[in-house]
Order: sequence, then C-alpha cells, then structure tokens
Amino acid sequence: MNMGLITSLKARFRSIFKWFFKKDKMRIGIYGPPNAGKTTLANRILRDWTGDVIGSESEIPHETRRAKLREGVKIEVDGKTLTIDIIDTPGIATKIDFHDFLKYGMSEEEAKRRAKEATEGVIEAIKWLDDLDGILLVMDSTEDPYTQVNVTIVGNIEARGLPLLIIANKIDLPNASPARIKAAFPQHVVVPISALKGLNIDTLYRTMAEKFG
Amino acid sequence: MPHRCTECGKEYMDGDMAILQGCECGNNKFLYIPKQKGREVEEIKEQFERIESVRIIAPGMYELNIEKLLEGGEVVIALQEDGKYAVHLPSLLRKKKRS
Repeated sequence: MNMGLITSLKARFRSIFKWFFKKDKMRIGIYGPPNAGKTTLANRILRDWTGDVIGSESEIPHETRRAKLREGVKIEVDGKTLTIDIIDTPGIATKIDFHDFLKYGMSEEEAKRRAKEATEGVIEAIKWLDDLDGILLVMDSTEDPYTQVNVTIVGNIEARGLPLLIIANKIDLPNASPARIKAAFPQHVVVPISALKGLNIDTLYRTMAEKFG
Repeated sequence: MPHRCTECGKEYMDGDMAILQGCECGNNKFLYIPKQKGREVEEIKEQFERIESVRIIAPGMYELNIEKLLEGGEVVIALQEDGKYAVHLPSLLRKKKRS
C-alpha cells in the first residue's frame, strides 16, 4: 500500500483520538518553596478572571497549610479560552522548625501547631502532583534558585512528563534576578513577573495558554 | 581527631599541645589516624537510603525527605533518632487517584 496514505491515515486517527480524549479543562498546580508568592499569584489569577481570591497572603512562611482548589477559571487570551482548575499548594520545604515562627510573635504552642500543619501541607502538596495536568513553579527572583527543593521538584516534574512553567516572581524588588533562575533551569520556560504588582502578568497568561491550552 | 597515644589510647586533635609535650600517661608516642574518607560517602549514602519520608526531630521540628515523598507511595515517619518508625497506612494502601 502507498506509504503516504498510511501516514495520512495514521495522522487522521491520531487527531480523532486526541479530539475524543482531549480534556475540557486542565488542572494546574501552583508549587514552590515557602514565601515564593504562590498564594499571591493564585489570588492575582483569580482576581483577574473571576474577581475572587483563594487564600490569605502573608510574609510569615507556611501561611498556606492546606492545598486549595478553585475550579473552572476561564482565561481568555487572543480570543482563545483556556479553562483551568487552580490548586494553590503549601510551600515545599525540607526542614520545618517552629523556632522560625516565634519571631513573628506566635506562642510556642501556636508555632508548634503551625509547624505540624506545614509538614502535613508538604505531604498533601506532593500527593496532589498525581492528579495534575500542568505545573506553575513559583520561585523568588531575589533568592538563589539552586536549592534542593527547586532542583528536586523540577527533576520530578520532568520525570512525570508534566508541562512546567517556571515563574520568576517578585521582579518588582530591586535585587531581583530572573536571569539567575533562567540560567539555573535553561531547559524550561521562565516567565518573570510580579504577582503582587501585576507586572508582566499578560505575558504569563499568554504563555499559559500556549503551554497548557 | 587523629593522634592516638600508643600507650593509653587517648586521642588528641590536630595541633594539641599534648602531642608535643606528651600524653597524660607520660607516653610521647602517638599514632596518626588518617581521616576516614569513607565516612562522608557513608553519610550521603545513608541519607539516600533513608526509609522515612518525615523525621520528627522534636515536637514542632520536622525534616522532610522530599525525594522520598515525590517518589510516591507510603509516608514513613521516623520518631526522633531512636529507631522508631510509624508507617502511614492510608498512604500505603491508596490505590486510586483522587478524582
């Protein structure tokens, strides 16, 4: 049989198959170390597209200690609509010590409870990875990106084959260096933004539509 | 670490005056013990071979083994350093993904 015909038939079957099994919406998880601005980003996306918020933002690490899901967020870019579920996850850390919370004026009991919940939060965040279709990995541009947490998460997301966008957040701060993040993870798309100030946020939406749409 | 008295076995650190003046026991011969190169490798190896995903150092102080957690499967909790472990059965038995 003609090889060209077989190839075109194969391509047609593949597109029909894709059409049948195409997900109508993507589940996107927002990941990163504590205090990278995950909730600020989640709130920014929700404020922009739903007028809502997902959780409280704080300078105290591990403010988000349970994963939070918001379904059916519609993002419109250049006439195309991307519908996503957003999961804001607790910050991933290798060490959690209640002493770190004491300086924020918490009682020892409260700090210990926070540490325990934060630890449970890390486990919950990691478990969510099994149920996601894409990841927004938020990093603080003012910090060294070469951390065990960042490198391990990127490696694992690559191994899972999940689409990944790295967000270089906090570019509004004077010592921010998104280039350092790009240099650390050159194989991935890095989008520099300020979730707090809304800087370059349109580029993020466009890149999300390309990557996850 | 590495200067051991050949008589009584007492060890002196590098640069200790006792190495020049002699050991407490009166002996002035010491055996130099080279640094164990294997030790660091062992420590790293041990870290990778740790079975627990969470180590509770003290109440409110936790050490998380992110690699282990990301590998999936069960959550094993090590209680301080005394060799006690707790296995979180629901995570071990979880077969189906969250829908």
